[in-house]
Amino acid sequence: MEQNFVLKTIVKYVIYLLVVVFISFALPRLIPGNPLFFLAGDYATDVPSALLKQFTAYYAPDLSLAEQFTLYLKNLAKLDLGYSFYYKTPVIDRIAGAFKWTMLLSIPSLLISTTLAIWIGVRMGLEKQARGATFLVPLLAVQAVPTFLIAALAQVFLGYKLHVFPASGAYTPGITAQSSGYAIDILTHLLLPLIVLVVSEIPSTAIFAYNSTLRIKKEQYVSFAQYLGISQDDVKQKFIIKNIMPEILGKLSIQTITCVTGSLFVEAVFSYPGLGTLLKQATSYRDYPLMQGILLVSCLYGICVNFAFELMLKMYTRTN
Amino acid sequence: MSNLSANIAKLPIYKKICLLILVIYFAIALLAPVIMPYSIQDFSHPHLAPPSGTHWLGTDELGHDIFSLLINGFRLTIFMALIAGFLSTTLGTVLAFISVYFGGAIDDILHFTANLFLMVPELVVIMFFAVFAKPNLLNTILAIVFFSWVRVYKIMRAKLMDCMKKNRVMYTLSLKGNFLDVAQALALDVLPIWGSFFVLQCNRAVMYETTLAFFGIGAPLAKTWGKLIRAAIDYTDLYYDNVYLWYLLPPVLAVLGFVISLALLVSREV
Amino acid sequence: MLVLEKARIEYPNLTLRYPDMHVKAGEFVGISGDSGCGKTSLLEALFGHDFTGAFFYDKGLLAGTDIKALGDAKYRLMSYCPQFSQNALNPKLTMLQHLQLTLKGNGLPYDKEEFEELLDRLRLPTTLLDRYPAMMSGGQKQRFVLLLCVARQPQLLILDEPSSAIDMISLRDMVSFLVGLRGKITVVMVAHSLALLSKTADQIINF
Repeated sequence: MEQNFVLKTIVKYVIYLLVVVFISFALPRLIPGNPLFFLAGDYATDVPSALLKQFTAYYAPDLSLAEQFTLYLKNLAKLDLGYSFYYKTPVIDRIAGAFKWTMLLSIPSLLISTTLAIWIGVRMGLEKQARGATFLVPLLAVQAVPTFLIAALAQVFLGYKLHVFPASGAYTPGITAQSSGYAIDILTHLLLPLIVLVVSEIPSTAIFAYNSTLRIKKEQYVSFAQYLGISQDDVKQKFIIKNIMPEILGKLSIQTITCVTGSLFVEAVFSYPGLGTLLKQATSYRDYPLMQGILLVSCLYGICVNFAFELMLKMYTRTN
Repeated sequence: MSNLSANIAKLPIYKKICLLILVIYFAIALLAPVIMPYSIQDFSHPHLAPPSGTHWLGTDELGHDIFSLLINGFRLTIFMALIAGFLSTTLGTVLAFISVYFGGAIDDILHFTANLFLMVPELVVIMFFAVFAKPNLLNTILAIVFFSWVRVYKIMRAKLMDCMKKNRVMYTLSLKGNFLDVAQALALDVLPIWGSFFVLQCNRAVMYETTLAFFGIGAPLAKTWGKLIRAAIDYTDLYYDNVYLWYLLPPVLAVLGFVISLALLVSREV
Repeated sequence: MLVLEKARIEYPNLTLRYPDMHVKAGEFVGISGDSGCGKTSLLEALFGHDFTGAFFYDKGLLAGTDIKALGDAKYRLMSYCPQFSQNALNPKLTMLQHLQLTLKGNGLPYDKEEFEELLDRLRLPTTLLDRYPAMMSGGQKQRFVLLLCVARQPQLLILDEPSSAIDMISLRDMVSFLVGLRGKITVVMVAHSLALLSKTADQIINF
């Protein structure tokens, strides 16, 4: 039965994957007036002929749509995502270089923010009604602010004005992996973007955990545990948190997408060399192949993380 | 009308403050042409002048009056937010009605599509969409609407299904009556949610548009707050002479005031 | 053990007045009355955590101390088993875990043999310890809840309609178990059926 379920989930996600690939193929071609296929017109003079040749080879505007799609899939299998207009190197190379920084930022942020958010949400929920709710307003306020704005403000005040942390980049220019203090340097540069990302991710999960706690708090088994004299700590861990976990895990799988998106914007503000900064440059320079590549990769990343979470969730609920 | 004022009076104090802030924003948006001392096209003024009697928030490095830019931003942002919010909420609601009324394959397809939309990073796709399309305000709005109807759809659909289950009369009506009859019958139940969503979606639209503008996407001449913030951050000497105080901070505070007030206004009772 | 005089709960439209109670240590006392006459309300007011209402008495003592003054300390002296407590088990814990947590919270050791004997007296199989609530019948859950209440070695045991949702056989086992506690633990039980109580109780208080 377990294998049947895993199989069904895999099939579902493969379908999602295919649809994303298809959309990534179709979108630039569908949007009216998109410049990709007017390259012969406005852009022909801006784009060097070598690049134009690569472009035509990759996008093949003169072939039929079906043939274009086959070509696209073939290229995808080869991990060929076309050539970047601006950098004049393969898109996949640029993305691979940037992706590791994005993972360095996004994955720890997800772990830290989730742990903190659950702790905060449960603490709030366990308080007497009015006291717990006072934290709700600040959380809602932070949740409403666009992530890039939190990043910009943090950069201004903590980075530039107060010089508490380095304000941009992933490492001090010039330093290499062999230099002493490389790890520390990476860490100090990671700190501010990480803090900003964690702060932007906490409210949503914390509020959810708070509401879940309020609900579970009213369950009969919680009050009975207290009648039995079970310690408050045990009640918190084994009665409340254990019972809110399934729904939190469910919420988290959606949260992972927000984490990926948030990471992109935080990187862009801090010029952290992940996919976010790459995206910002690609948009500035209207580097369509690069943009398309980043879109595809971030969608795929999101789907993979989502898939991992859904499996984890089902395994957790089965064994408990 | 008296019902509305009674409901407003019942709101907790912080929500009343939010409502007041939003009313002020709206008023500024309406009165923008009157309040702005200079045109936004006018860049004949001294560059980077600090705040003074003639330029309340000083000027930027190209010579525009920042105060006028800011006021213009009110108009652009609110106009855009209202339209995008209205369209995405209504689209989500209508699709939910269609889903619930027709059921079967149509529901399955819509639901599957919605789940797919949820799985991809919304903002990145909007960005993608908006970059490829011609850079104007309409396309930005369309891009935002196209991707944010999903939240509304999912919850409306759940609520409508709930309603249909609970109310047998409506259910039989849906079997006999046509689509419009059903819509009418369920409308009353759905209206309050539509209202909350409208505000939420307006908020989301502002968040998205500001983020897009920050990334340089959108109509180049429409100087929304996002664009102003981007321009400020791009300016290399922002931190000398406290330039950031009157160049960066005003649009930032304007955005914060708007999004936070909107969000707190529709938050569930604390 | 338990003294209650002139207890009353005041509602906006009416006041519920309760008969006086004097329960001696080690007694088995039954409380009977029609549905809705406020039995549960009184128990909740006296021993519940979340009672929000206007509850007053002229005299209310638990083991010699005023009940309201005791606050949460009263749970060290007594076990309160509310109505529908077959639903009072944590769906994510095994029975053994429930037992161990209860013992830990009350500072008591886990003596495997002692509890196997207890399970036996309640006609519960020892394999029950590894089961989750979802795998147990209503009667088993009710009896296990009773076991938990007794395991903490209270001086007073309050049961609110433990018979409400279980079958006759489980009920019989439970009552004979409770009767066996006489002299060691004071038991106050609310029940529907007078017949059950009249054969076993030292006192019956009619509401």
